[in-house]
Amino acid sequence: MLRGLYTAAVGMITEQIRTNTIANNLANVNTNGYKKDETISEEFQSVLLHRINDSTQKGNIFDLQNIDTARNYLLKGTVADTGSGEAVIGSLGRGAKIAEIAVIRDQGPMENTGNKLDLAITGQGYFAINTPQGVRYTRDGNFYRSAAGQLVTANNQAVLNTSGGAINLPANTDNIAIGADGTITANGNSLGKIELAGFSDRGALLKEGDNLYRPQKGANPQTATGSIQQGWLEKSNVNVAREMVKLINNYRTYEADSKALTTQDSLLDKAVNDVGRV
Amino acid sequence: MMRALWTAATGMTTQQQNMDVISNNLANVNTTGYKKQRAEFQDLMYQTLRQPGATSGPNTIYPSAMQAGHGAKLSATNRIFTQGSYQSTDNKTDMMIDGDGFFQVTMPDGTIGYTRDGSFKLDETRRLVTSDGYPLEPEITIPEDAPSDTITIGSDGTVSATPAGADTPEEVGQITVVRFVNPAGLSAQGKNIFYQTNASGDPIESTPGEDGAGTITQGYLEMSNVQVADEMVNMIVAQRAYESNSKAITTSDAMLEIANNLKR
Repeated sequence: MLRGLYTAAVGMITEQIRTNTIANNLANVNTNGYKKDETISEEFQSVLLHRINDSTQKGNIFDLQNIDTARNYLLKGTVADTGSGEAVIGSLGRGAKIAEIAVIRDQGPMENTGNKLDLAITGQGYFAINTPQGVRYTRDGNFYRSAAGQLVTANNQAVLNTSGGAINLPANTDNIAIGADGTITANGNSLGKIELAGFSDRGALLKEGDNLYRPQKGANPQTATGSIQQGWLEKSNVNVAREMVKLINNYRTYEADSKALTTQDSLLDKAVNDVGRV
Repeated sequence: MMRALWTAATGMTTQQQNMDVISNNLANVNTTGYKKQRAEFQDLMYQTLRQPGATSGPNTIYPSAMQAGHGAKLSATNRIFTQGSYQSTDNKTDMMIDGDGFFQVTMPDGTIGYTRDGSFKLDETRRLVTSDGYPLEPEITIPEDAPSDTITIGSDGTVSATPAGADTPEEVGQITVVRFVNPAGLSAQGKNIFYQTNASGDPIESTPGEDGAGTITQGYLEMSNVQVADEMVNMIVAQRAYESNSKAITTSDAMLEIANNLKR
């Protein structure tokens, strides 16, 4: 059927995925340490249009070598005659697809909570968390003290220190001080240092839910350059106004794609029902 | 159907829970010894559409992942045990704990409840009891012959009263306070009472002023630590977040309508 029908349809699907991502950003507008996702789309590889059985040309249209030559011409930006019975007219785009859902790691706004165990990271870095599935990373510094006296996340998973162990807090909470480098002191006694892991590769961490990031195979945590702020929480970096604009933009693009689709359908209607009337 | 519909719905649900927490804080803005709560959220699971490192061509790999999220959920309602403001009452049996700690009271079923509400009264047997009649633990009884305006409570929790006709006060009891390793893990029972849980740890009983326990101040009450301005800001944030999620739903719905109208 008409190629344009499918082109318009992939456009609609792309906008649908974009809208899903925006909905997730909006749902997490109040999630501590949440980093927004941005959908990046790209054009499908364009195809070559050939004029085949050109009487002035001779050759086999299935000659792959000639198609390669044509492609090379195309890459140079010229329209080529392959001399094989198929003159290349030019390229045709086939719509857009999602190339990437990128995590935008901008700093989120800070909120003062007055809670001594709330920690925010300014700059680079993640807290390392011990979960039953292995070490995970998070920017959510909403920590508690567990019944066993350990520093834990809201899901009761231990926050790790620089030597990979849990951090034990004494019964008296009054004087717990956490320095910018993660050093914890209580009543003047040192309790270790909170691990702050950094990753040079942005593909090293995958979102896992529960505010956790899962390290990928080969991910190598290094000492991060960020610093810790005690008594603060990093909020979500989602900007509602921006997401709303994107939502409107998506909606209108979707609408325009649908118009392209219905227009082509009317053309088909004409071709089938009017032209083909017997 | 569109995933965005369900994703945005989880956003609306979490903001609704946020509003529940905020309205409870506002309802308790004048509750003695009330400790405010704060709703905390987490993102839900992610669907990995493409792994990073997957092959993208003969000699190339995708450097980044493609992940689609499914919304948000409530992860915790964190109770904030900061000190509330003080209010002078000039009532001899009102007291507040300045610092960490809870009063222990005996509940009707014999279990121990914990409270920061120090508005104690004398019952018919002249025991110190809460507004609901739950006696302090250990029990403190003011002698019949000692007028209630002679009751003195020291910062270390010693209660004394002067019998009629006598010149020197007599010690009639000792108030102890308890602390918890993790007060955020206490379970609120209403009526300003908390119960211990596995998460809070066992109570650590101590004399006021010792081992980091707070001191007792007579004639004052600890008010709620809810800050109305903060709660109002939280409410605006929750409302706008709810609204923007509803916009995501109506937009997705409109898109579905367009899709449905493609077939004429």
